[in-house]
Amino acid sequence: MLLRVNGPKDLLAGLIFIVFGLATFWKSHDYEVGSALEMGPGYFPAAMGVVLTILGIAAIARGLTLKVADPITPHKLEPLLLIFGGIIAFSLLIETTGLLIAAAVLIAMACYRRLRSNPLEVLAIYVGLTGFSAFLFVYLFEMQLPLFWWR
Amino acid sequence: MGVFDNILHGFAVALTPTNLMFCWIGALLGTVVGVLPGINVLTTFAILLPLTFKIDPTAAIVMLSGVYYGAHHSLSTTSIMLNMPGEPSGVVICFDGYPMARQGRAGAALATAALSSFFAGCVGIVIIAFFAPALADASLWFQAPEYTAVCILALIGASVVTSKSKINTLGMAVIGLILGTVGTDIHTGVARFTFGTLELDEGFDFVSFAAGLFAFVEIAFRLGSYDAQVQIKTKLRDLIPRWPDIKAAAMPTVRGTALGAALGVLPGTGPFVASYSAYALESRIAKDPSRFGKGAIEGVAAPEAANNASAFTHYIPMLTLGIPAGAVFSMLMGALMMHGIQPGPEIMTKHPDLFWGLIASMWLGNLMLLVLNLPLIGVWIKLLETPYRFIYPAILLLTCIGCYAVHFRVFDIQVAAFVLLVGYVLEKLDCAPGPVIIAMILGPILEENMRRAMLISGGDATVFLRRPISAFFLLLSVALIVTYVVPTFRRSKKKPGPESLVEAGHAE
Repeated sequence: MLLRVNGPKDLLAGLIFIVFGLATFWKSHDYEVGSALEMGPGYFPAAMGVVLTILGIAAIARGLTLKVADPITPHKLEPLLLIFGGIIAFSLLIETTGLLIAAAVLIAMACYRRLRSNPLEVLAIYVGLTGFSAFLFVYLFEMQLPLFWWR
Repeated sequence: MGVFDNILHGFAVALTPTNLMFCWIGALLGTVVGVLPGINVLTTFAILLPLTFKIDPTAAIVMLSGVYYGAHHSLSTTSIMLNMPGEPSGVVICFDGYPMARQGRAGAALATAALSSFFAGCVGIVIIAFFAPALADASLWFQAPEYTAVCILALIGASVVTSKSKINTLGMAVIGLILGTVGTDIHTGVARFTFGTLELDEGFDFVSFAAGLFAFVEIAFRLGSYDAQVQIKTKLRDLIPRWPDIKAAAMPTVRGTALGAALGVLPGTGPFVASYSAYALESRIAKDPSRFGKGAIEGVAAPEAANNASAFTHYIPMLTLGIPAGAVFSMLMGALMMHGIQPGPEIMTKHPDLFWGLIASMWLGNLMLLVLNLPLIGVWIKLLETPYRFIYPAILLLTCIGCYAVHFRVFDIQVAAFVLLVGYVLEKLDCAPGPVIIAMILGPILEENMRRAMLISGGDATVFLRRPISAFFLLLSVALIVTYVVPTFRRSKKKPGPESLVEAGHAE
C-alpha cells in the first residue's frame, strides 16, 4: 500500500512526527502545564508536541497529494549496522579495555570488508590513527583517556 | 575608548603566540576540511569541541572561527576545479568557475576567488568591528517579545532554505526544540523528560547530536550508496590573473560584498541566499548576460565575495543578540557557553579581550588564507584526491573520542550511536538535520523569552504583534513560510529555481 503512494518519504516522516509529537504532548502532562500567563515546565513541550503533530499531518497531506512519484532510494544497510555496532562496541570498551583495543574493534568493524581484501592497509590505518589520537588527546592535551586497561 | 583603540587592543590579544598559533591551526584545518571530501565544518567542530575546553576561551573561539572561515575560503577550490560544491553556496561558484577551468583559466578563476574573498572578508570584519557595538546598544530595544520573534525567524529561516522537504525540515526544527527541553527546567527545577536518568539532568549534549547527525550519518550514507565513487584527477596551469581579469572582477566583487554583508546580518538567511542573490544581480546588470554560465569572471567574483562577506556578518546576530545564524554558530555558541561565557550583547563589555581578539584574529586569519591558499593550491588539489576509504575511519575514531571526552561518559557516545540510527532514517525521509542542532541551542532561549513575554504582557499573545520589531520579524517568518513552504503543496514538477540548485549542491 505504502509503495503506491507518490510521496512515501513524506508519509513516513509525517507518521514519525505525529507519533513523536503526541508522545511529547502526553508526557508533558507529567509536569505542570500552567496557563499562557504563567507557563509551567510542561507548557512549552506540550505546545511543541502539538506543532509537531500538525507538521506531521501536513507532511502526510503532501505525501498523499504529490503528483510525481518520489520513491525512497535504496541503500546498503550493512555499513550503517557495522558502524553503529562499532560505535557501541567502542563505548563499551573505552573504559574497560582502553583506547587501543576499543579503537581496534571500531576500525575493524568500520573497515570490515577491507579487512579480508587488504588487511595491511587496515592495520596501517589503525596504527596511524591510534598513534595520532594518543599523541593528540593523551600526550598533547593530557586527557584522562585510558590507553590500556591498567591505566 | 574608540573603536580604533579597541581594534589595537584586539591585535595585541590576537598576536600573542598562543592565539596566533590557534588562529593558524584553525585556518589551515578549515582549508583542509573545505577540500577533503566527506568532512565539513560541523564534523570538525564535533571533533574539536572537547579539545577546546583545555584551552583558553579566546584561543578556542579563534581556532573554531578559523576552521569556519577557512572552509568558506576553500569552498571555491572544489567548485572551480571539479564542479563539486562542498556546501550549497558553492553551487553558484560552479556555474562559471568550472567552465573557466575547462577553458584552461582555472588559475585565473582560483586567484579571482581568493582575492575577492579576501576583500569581502576584510569588509565583513570591518562591519563587525564598527556595527556590532552599535547594534549591541540597539539590543536594549530587544526584550522578551523581540527575542522570541527573532528566535522563531532564525529557526524558520534555517529550516526552509534547504534542498530537502521543507515541511519535514521544519519538523526537524521542532524535534530539536523538544530535545532542547530535556533536562532540569531553570524556573521550577523540575527534571523534564529525563526518565530518571542522572545523565540527562543537564539535558542532551549537543556534541553527541552533532557527531551523530553530521559525522556518522554522512559516513553511513556514503558507504551505503550504490553510486560508484568517482576518482578525481585534476590539472592546473597558470595561477597569476591577468590585468583584464582583475579589472573585470573588481566591481562585481564590491557589489557582491555589499549584498552579502547586508544579507548576512539577518538571522535566517544562509550563505546560499547571499551568493545566489549576488549571482542573479550580476547576470541581470551585465551588458552581455549570455556570457554567464560559460565562464564569466564576474560570475565567480561576485558570489564568492557575497559568500565570504556574509560568512563574517553572520557573526553579528550571535555577538550582539546571542542568536545563532546557523548550525555552525549554534556550535560556536555552545563552545562559548561551555566556557561559562554567554554570547550576547554583554560579550563586548564583559569579555572585550575575546570579542576584539576574535575580530583581529579574523583579519589575520584572512591574510594567512590568502598567503596559504594561492601558492599551495597544488597541495590542496592533491588533497582533493585522497580516497574516502582513508578519511572515514579517521572521522569515525576522532568523533567517538571527541564525544567521550566532553564529559568522559560513555553515555554520550551511545547517544550519538542512536542519533545515527534515527538520523539515518530521517535523512532518508528527506529531513535536513541542521535545524535540530540550531533548535537545541535556541530552544531554551525561545522558551525562556516566551514565558517572560507572556508574563509581562499579562497572558496577552498580541504583545508580539503590537511591538514593531517583533511584529517585523514575525512578518518576515510568515513571508518565508509563504514563499518556501506553501508552493511545495502546489508544485507538481520541479522547475529550475533556487531549490533545485541547492539540490545540485547536495548531490555531490
